[in-house]
Amino acid sequence: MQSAKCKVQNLKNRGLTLIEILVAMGIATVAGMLLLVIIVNSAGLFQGQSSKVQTGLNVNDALSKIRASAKQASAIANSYTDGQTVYTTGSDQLVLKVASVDGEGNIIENLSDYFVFFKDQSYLRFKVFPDPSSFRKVSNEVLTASLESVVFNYFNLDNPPLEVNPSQASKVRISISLRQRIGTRVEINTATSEANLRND
Amino acid sequence: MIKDQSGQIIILAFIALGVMLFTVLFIIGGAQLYFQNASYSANAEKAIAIAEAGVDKAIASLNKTGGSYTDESTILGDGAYSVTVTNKDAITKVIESTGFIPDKNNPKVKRTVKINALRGTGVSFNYGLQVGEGGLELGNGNIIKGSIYSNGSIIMGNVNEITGDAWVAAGVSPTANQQADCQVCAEFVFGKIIDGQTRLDIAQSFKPSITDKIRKVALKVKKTGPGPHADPIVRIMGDDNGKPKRNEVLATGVLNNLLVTGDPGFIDVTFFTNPTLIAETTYWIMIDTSANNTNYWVWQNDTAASYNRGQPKWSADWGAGNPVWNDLTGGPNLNDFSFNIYMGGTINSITSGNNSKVLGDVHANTINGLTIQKEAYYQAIANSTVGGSACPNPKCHPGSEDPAPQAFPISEANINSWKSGAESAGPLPSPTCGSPVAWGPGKYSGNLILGSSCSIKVKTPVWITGNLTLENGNSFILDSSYGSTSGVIILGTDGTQGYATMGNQNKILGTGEGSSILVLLTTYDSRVNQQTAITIGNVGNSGVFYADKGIIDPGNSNKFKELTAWKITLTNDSIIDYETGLASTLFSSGPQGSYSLVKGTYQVK
Repeated sequence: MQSAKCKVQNLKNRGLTLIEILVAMGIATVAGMLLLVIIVNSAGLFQGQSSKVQTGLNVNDALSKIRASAKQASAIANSYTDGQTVYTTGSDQLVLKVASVDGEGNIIENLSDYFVFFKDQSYLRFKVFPDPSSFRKVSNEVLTASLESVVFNYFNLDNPPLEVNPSQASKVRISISLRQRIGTRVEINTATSEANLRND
Repeated sequence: MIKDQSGQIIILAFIALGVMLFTVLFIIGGAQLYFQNASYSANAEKAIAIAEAGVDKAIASLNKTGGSYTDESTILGDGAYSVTVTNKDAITKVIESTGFIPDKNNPKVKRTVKINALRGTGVSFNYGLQVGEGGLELGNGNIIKGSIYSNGSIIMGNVNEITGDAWVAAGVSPTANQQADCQVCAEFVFGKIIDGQTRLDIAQSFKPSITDKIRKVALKVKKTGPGPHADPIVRIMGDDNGKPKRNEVLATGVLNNLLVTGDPGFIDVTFFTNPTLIAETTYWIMIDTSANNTNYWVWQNDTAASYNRGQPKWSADWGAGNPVWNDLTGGPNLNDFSFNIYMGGTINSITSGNNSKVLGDVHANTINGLTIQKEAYYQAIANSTVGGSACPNPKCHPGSEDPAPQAFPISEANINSWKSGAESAGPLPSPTCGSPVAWGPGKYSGNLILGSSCSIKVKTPVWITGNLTLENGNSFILDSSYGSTSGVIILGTDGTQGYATMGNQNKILGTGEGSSILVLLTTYDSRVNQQTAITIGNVGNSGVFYADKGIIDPGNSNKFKELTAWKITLTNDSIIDYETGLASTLFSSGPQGSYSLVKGTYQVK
């Protein structure tokens, strides 16, 4: 009787065997690996999709800003000089001449501010150079980072449109390409839009 | 002990589930944020589009109601717009249209578009000096603050300065190589669906008698409907077995709708390039429109078919894969549209004495004796420097095509329309100097002579059928009720009368608001007898003068905002100080005119 009790007591007090520990560690390792794989894949997927969506949003917002500016422009200026820097309208820079505004946001006739869109290393930059009498604020914004290229094409209002010199253009086509890195891969996301100069 | 340790696996499971839940929620949360951002961007674009629809509706309603339309709120597409119209001055309306997404009461996004709308005829004076085939003769010491466009040669004396660009177009032959005008006149409606026919693109064939470059065409058209009308595209095309050849567009130009009125008139159309046409080869003039059953077009048609070197056709879509071209009613060779084709011409040049300079670019076939600060585009150049040194250098562009001739900013149809407006306003008595009551609008029969220091306030259009003589110190001032719009005084009737002679210190002035101007316009024809149409004395004269068939002699030491003439002889020490606002001048046409958007006033707020 005592011997049986002792056996049960011994069984209760006995530690895990090596095999049990190995099996438990094996299960824990497999489960942990599975969890890690899920986390890594999820994070990778999330990062990749986030990057794509973010790039898409950036390119849309940048296009939207340029389109809205072009619609309000009275002309495409050949160039604008800011101190030593000359911004010249071409395939990678756009200089817009936009009517100045007063304190209430109303147009001031015969006065113009200048909007410049250009590639600055990997940034698409937007600068506003107001006339001294204009109430429009000076601006220097980054519209998007990770810029691969920006291309401006200039057209008249023919049907189909003919590509013309910027000074004769009534329509601008904007193509923006953004570079995104997904893991070790690099993808280029390009979007294109057009805007007519409503005030031309 | 083992009992105490039981259930460990559930903790592991909770940790795993927690990680997965966190990851999933993080992804969903991020996606939700991006979705909201993307939706906002898309809705902002939609709101602008809906607001613009509100502006279009407001202009159409203003024209339909004679200007009494004031506001409305309307559901449209995925949102709604709200429009308010306020009076800026007697003839200017401010239209403010706000687009809401998804509705006006609880908008997620809203955008406001604001424009000005005016009644009247828009005219674009794009150059300080615009000169016709007669060319420009400058004496010494003149300053042109702005650009010059001349369809004839420019000859300058010494020490003249042009601050903008100088353009000298290829010479155009004064007579048309091919022409057709109606013997039995009818009207052919296009730009709409009529009698079940979708007449959007119409064309007339012709055969030039010489091999040379086509410079311009003139088409006898009118427009119908309250407007606004879009500018149709005019093309010169090759022939494909009796119809326009879709893949052979030789030249493209724009028919400026502002030059066209409700009465048929020949309207000049110039082209961006001037291709060479081959003698006795069939070509087509094609007008390309979009369907608009309210605002459409008419090309005058000769049902006697008196032009025997071509025929007219129409199509629903010239650019279709295999476009169908149809004969006018009755079959081929029973009709002809009215047109003129101008070809060839002379070599034009810009020539100067000593020390004349152009601060901008120069475009001309031949350049002689100029200091050009920017760039030069030419066939031949002599005695000139470009960008600081003689050619060749990177700023010299030999072999450049001659610039195409430019049409004048006011058409014969515009002038006839103003004359009709003046005539319908009734006869005018002689004006009273210094009267607070404005003179006009109306028609004054005979010659008008003003002595000295007579100031006359005017409402236009005023048509003086005879000649105008202003001695010294007189002024015509446009009535202040015209706000920032402009007015016109027309001289002459049939080209043999209507010359103006001015002494010193005479002024032709707008209201003083915005870019308002008062134009003194003469229909006097100097081309036959070389007599001056507008002769201006010395010192202190100012204004805007227009003589599309005449010569202007602007005298010495005067200051003008703009001059347009068939020929200009700018003698000495005069200043042309061009205002950029003249590029979008709007002439008030009185209560019968239709509202249209004023260029330069479009804003998104």
